[in-house]
Amino acid sequence: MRIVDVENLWKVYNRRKEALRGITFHVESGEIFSLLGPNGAGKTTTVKILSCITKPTNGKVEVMGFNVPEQCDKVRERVGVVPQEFQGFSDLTVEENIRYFVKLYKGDKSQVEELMKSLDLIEYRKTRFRNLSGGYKRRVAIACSLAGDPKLLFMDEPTVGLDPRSRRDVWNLITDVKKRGISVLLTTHYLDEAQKLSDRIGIIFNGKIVRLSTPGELMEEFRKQTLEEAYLALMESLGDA
Amino acid sequence: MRNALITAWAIIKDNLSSKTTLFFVIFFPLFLTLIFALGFGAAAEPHVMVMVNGNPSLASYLNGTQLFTGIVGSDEREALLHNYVYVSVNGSKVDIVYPQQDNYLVPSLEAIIQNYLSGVNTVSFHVSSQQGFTYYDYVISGMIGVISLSNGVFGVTGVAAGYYRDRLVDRIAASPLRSYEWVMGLIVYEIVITLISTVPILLLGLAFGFLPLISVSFVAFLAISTLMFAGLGAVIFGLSPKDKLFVAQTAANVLVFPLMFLSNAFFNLSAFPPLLKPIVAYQPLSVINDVIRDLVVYNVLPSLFDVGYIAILTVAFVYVGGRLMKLRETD
Ligand SMILES: Nc1ncnc2c1ncn2[C@@H]1O[C@H](COP(=O)(O)OP(=O)(O)O)[C@@H](O)[C@H]1O
Ligand SMILES: [Mg+2]
Repeated sequence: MRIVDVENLWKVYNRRKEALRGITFHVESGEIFSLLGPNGAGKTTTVKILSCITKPTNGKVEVMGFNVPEQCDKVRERVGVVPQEFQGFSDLTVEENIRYFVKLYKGDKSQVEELMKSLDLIEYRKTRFRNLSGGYKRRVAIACSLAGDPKLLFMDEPTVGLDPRSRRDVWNLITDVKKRGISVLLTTHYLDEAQKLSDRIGIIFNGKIVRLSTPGELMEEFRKQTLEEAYLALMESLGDA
Repeated sequence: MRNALITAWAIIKDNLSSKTTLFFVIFFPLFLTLIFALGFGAAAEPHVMVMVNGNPSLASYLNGTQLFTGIVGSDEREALLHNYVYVSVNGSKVDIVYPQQDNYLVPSLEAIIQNYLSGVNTVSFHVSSQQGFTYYDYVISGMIGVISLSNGVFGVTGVAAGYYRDRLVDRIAASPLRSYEWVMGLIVYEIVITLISTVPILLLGLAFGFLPLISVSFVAFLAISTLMFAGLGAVIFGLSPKDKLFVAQTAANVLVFPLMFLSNAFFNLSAFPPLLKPIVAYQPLSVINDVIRDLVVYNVLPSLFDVGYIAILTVAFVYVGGRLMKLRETD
């Protein structure tokens, strides 16, 4: 089943800037799908449209069977989001931040405790958000995105700015999320991350999707050991064309 | 509505836990009040000012007496608020209203007026005393309006800008929270902050001998004026580009400081040059201060015009601000 379905999606900012130029892809229920691409490719724009923060200019967008933007009210209730570089309320504690989002999503009170437990945040519950390390800030962001028990999660560059250790922690959290049966659409410009986590990838460049594949298929196609090498080879072949 | 309140609660808790906010909410207004109260309050004391109504040349005559300084004016309450003696001349009838503490000066004043009006056969004096108001009463009540202005405008623009920078707005925009609930959350926060900042100012006022008349109508009006300025803040923020947030904050500064100083908050309308007077008199902060002074200082019913004027501005700013300050991108 397609939990996200995007067809020929265009986004033009201020009638001038073509950020997305007709992209088509979908996310299967239960999988981790990565949108991979350099800065400025259009990843955040895609996530913002899917999470109903900004409107598509043209094209068909369906999230959990609901049309975007017409049925955005339904989408917002059901989808969790971790925006790029998200900071919580900086002077609220970990617990207060999570509680705010649980309430917004009409979650049960007990969920606050559960989320703190499952994300190893219990000992930081009284710590203000601003005083957390980068890795723990991400943990809180993920906890907040799980408020209200979403079946689908959008994560925009979830490991940017983290040290290698924390990046791996976040990777583990993302696979945990998948194990809970939550579908994940993540964006990244780190190829090791995409290789490690993704069931399928979409490579986005200049507002266009240049390849839809799995990490394995792409590495095979270009006979490379890592996704990074395969990606570079792909980019080279595109430059030649 | 429920979401607006839980959002307001989060914003209140977040900001009141921050030292920077506490500085701006508590210490900055106190500091400003102290500067004006001590700087101008002390200087205002030794003058014995007489406001003359109905006979401008008597005012200049008084000026020549060394004892009094005469000015022309017709607002008895203004006069008393500044500890002026108020003299109203109508033919041979002279009304004198003076602040209690100036009791000992009244005989000299009567003699001087009698002398000046010597052409008139019998001058009949009607003398009454009023509880005097001091410059402290004036500046402290004026400061309350200033707080609603600065909290309302800076609060919305500053807090919203911070949350944009922290991507909190993006996060909240993806949640079921509605745009108007977000704006309401911010406005409720501003109202709470204003009420909180007012307490230390009033306590400081007590130290200067100002006994404010705290009433339900005062608290309600203070909430409305903050609502009005928060709506104005939302208009400014809504019109500013979100990728250049400093524009909103610059615009807020450019607006707030002139409104603050070109108002009757610290100085009486009569102290402004004639060209500025209409602006000073009818800009919202002055009208708000008129109402606040009526309520907490004079204990009289505020004018219907003043209250209606503020009510209309409040509805207009909140409506336009709520439409402009969208939680989500619209194009
Ligand atoms: N609000 C906006 N207004 C105008 N242009 C924008 C806006 N947001 C993004 N863009 C432009 O759209 C393109 C894609 O941006 P974005 O989606 O943020 O890319 P990515 O997340 O892949 O780095 C960039 O050229 C960016 O400058
Ligand atoms: Mg991005």
